[in-house]
Order: sequence, then C-alpha cells, then structure tokens
Amino acid sequence: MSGLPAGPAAPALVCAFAVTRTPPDAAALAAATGHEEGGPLRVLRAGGLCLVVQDVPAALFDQEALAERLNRPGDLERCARAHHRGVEAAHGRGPVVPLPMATLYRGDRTAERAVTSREAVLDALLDRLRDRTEWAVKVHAAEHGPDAAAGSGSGAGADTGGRAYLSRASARRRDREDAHGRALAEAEAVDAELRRYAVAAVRHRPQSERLTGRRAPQLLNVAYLVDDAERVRFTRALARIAADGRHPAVEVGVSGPWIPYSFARWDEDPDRTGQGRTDPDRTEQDRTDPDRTGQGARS
Amino acid sequence: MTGPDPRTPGPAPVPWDGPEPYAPIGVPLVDLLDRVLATGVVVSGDLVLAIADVPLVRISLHALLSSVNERVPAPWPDSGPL
Repeated sequence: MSGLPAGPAAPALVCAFAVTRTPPDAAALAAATGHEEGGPLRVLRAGGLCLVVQDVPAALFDQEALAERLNRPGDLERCARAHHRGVEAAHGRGPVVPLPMATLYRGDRTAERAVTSREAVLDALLDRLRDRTEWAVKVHAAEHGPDAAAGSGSGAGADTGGRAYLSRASARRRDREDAHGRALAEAEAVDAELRRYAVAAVRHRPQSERLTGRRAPQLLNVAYLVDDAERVRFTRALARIAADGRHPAVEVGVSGPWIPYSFARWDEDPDRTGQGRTDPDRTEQDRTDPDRTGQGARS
Repeated sequence: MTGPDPRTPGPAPVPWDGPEPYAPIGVPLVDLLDRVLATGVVVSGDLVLAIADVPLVRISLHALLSSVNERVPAPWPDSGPL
C-alpha cells in the first residue's frame, strides 16, 4: 500500500462494482449506497464502457485491513451486500458485468486502464448477458428418506439374534444407498429439464449442511442463465417440477432472478487476455455472435 | 437494502427465495456469497491490491463457516467456489 495518488486528506482507494455500456441513471446512483464507509457511487468512462466505482478509505480497504475484516462473518456479509447494492445500482439501464467483490484500484486511472485494456472481452460479455437473468436452483435430498427407513425395523420382535441385527442393519444401509442413488438420479433429471429453457448453466459446489441448515445433503447447486423471453417457461417448469410429484426423492429450491453473476466471467485464466485476448473461440466474433450458448455450460 | 428496484424498468432482478415458490424475501446470503465470491470478471492486470485473489476468499469462507460451526470444514475446501 504505497504511493496513493494525491487525494483528499484521507487516502482513498477506488472500489469497482460493475461494468456497463450505458451509464446508469445519475439519480439512481445517487440514491444507492455502496460500502457504508465510502463515498457516493460514481461512474468512470473507460473507452466505450462505464465503470461504476466508489471511493473507499484505504485504512479500511487496504489488503491487510480488508483481509482482517472479511474474516469476520458480520463484516463479510456487510461487504457482500454492499457489493451487491453497487452492482444493482449499475444495472438500471441495460446489462452489467459484475466484478468480483472487493475489486480495488489505487486510483481512477488504473481502474479505467484495467477496463479499456479488456474492452473487447467485456463488450462480448455484455452482449451475452443482455436481457438475461440468472436463477439459482438447489436440489436437496428429500428430508424423509433415511430417517423413515431407520425406524422401520420395529416389527422384528422375534428376531433378536446378532445375525438378524446384522441383516437388518445392512438392509437399512442398502435402503439408504438406494435412496441416495434415487435422489441423485432425480436431481440430474431436474437439471436436464431446466437446461432445456436455459442458455447456459454453471454448477457451483453444493453448500454444506451447516450452511443450508438442512439435514439432507445438497445434491446440486446450479445457476441457470435464462433469456427474458424464456423466463416464464423456465419458472413454469420449476413450478411443474415442484408440483407434479415425479421427483419425490428431492426437494427443489430456487432464488432469482439474479443479475447474472455466475456467467460474468471468462473461463479459466483471465490473465491470458494480456496477449491472447482470451479464448479464440469466444472473443473473435464477440460482436456478431452474442449467443454463444456453450460458454457457461459446463459442470 | 435490496428490495425491489424501482428504477429498473420491467421486472426487477430481485432475488427471491423461500419455501413458497418465488416469494420475494430479499437476498439470501448463502446464494449471494456463492455469487459475489465465486464469480465476476477478474480484471486483475492493473489491480493494485490482490484482494480478488482466491486465498483471501477462502480465508473468509472459513471464518464464515466456523462461526456457524467450527468443527465443519468449508464446503469449498481447496479450490474455492468453482
């Protein structure tokens, strides 16, 4: 942390939220709060693009301070929500490419340069995300499965020998394994059904039971990128899945629509842009082919 | 905080959640963390600070989780969220 640019009394860093093509509405920006400790949201012009940023105090946001704060759950949450507010504020007029939480630059100039040097890629992403939203779908094993099975050996009053016990135990284990296999298969079926209405899908790691607060494991944690034109069909498919009872071994939860965070990225190593301008199959025709559907669809 | 965005024309991209399908109740934190930590374009070339790097994120998640239950390892033990 050195060489901060000349600024007001307290040294500030520039926290960047998102890239847009059209500048967000000024009044909307003014009404939004990014990080509570920082200044108002503002827009930097970077080539043909806009970058929504906020000045934040270096004392709180330099590497050390931030690392320490983000290790505190309460601060991590506040920071994540502040970031989300900044991204939302940028979103008002057209697509946005969200930057990762806590993307910090030493000054406006470096922030602008970072964007202009990747303008083609960002442009392609903006095209790809336009008129699309993200939906978070999580599939859990149904809560009843194993527990119900566990209580079911009760009719075995006559069978009290060790062998009977072992066979009951192994039968229970088999039941559990069967149930798990069924749930997995159903989760995959749900995913396959939903992909029919999505432009792309990305699997996040399933969240732990501690995070979800459920006893049943999370089997799938998928983000779908859905065209606005397909949204109704997508949500209808979700409702159908929940209602028609064809997937009794799983429970499907959804949140959305989200700004398409999970699809605002290029794969693997972003630093390759330095020379290769990212993946050839993707950026070459970024202007002509905004619908490269394969991009995020991996699992 | 993150209620429906009155500025957005058309359907506002407000995350919904809940047992009641599609009932808006604000932004679910776990889903939000999946998103803000795992994703976004890393424009790292001119970054002064390495905040966006994975190691920090991993530390944070550890902290988050240990507050929930310290015996439990992070759900993204090594590579961070995908």
